[in-house]
Amino acid sequence: MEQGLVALAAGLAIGLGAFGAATAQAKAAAATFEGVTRNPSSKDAVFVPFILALAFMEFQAILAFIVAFLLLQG
Amino acid sequence: MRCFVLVRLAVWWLVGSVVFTGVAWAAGSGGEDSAVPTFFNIYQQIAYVLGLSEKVYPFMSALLALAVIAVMGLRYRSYVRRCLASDQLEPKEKFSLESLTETIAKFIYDLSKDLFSKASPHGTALIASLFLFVLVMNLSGLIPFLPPGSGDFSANLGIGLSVFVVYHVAGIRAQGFWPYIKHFSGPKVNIPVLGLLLPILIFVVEIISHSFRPVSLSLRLMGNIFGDHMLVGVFTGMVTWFIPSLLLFFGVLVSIVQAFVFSLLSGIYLSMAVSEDH
Repeated sequence: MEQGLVALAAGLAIGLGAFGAATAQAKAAAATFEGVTRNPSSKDAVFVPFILALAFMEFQAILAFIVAFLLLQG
Repeated sequence: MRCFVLVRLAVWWLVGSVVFTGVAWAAGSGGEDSAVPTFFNIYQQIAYVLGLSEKVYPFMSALLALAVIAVMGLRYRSYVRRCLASDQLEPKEKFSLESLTETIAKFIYDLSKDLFSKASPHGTALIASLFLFVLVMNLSGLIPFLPPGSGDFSANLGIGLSVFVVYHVAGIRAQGFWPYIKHFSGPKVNIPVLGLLLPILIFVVEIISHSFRPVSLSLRLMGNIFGDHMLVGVFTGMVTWFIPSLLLFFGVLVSIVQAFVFSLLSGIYLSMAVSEDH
């Protein structure tokens, strides 16, 4: 029973974390591509902040992954 | 010519995937008992022969990265210098270690030109060494039998803490001790009570966020690399043939992006500590 609940918690943790991070990254990518297609010369200026923003969003998913992993291990 | 290079890469990839899946199968690590198969591990064997704990494998991976970078740096020193001296030296058509080195050097040079407004040899050296070190450590995890050193928290925390020390020392040297401490408390506020309370509040928040920086740097790298490695393991447990090798391409992407993010964030921290108007 308890093991099942822990498995459920781990699944929920990584699922919700991935959902949030993926939604945010999709939004950022959509906005960036729209901006770059409107103004192709802004590609170089946008590249570094875009990668940084993606890394910050991905960090939340990574934290969720670590929590899920610790739940299953502990 | 370029097409030929692509064909050769594809052939190497196919050969590599067959070898990789064969190795995974030969290790007898199908997913009968556990979801994550345990591979034969070279670092573990070396540690066993030397009579060391197997926990030292990040150190061995770091030594491997150091050796690779030293060989690359000594062999291609003059090429890299030529690449840095003239701005428009294009990488060669032929895919070789030389052209790869040139591309990486150019990439790091452009990045440090963006980050530091005036040319900063120390900043460039920090970014370049961090990028190469983390990249080689990440990519070494894609070789069969070698776990990635950056998939462990200890090695990354070491790099993160050294970055932490370096940018604070650089900030103190650029601005002086008290002005550097003072810039944690934010801009000056000319309101009677708030003017006293707000800087203290901002100071505490800033100290907490600065202390979390090395942890977040290393945790991000560890989570990405470890997660990617585990994904390959889980897929190998499920399918064994061919499919896990598709994930190697994903692994290369993750390795490059994470090395880039790590060095970029360190460079940003350094430039923020050194710049005076912040």
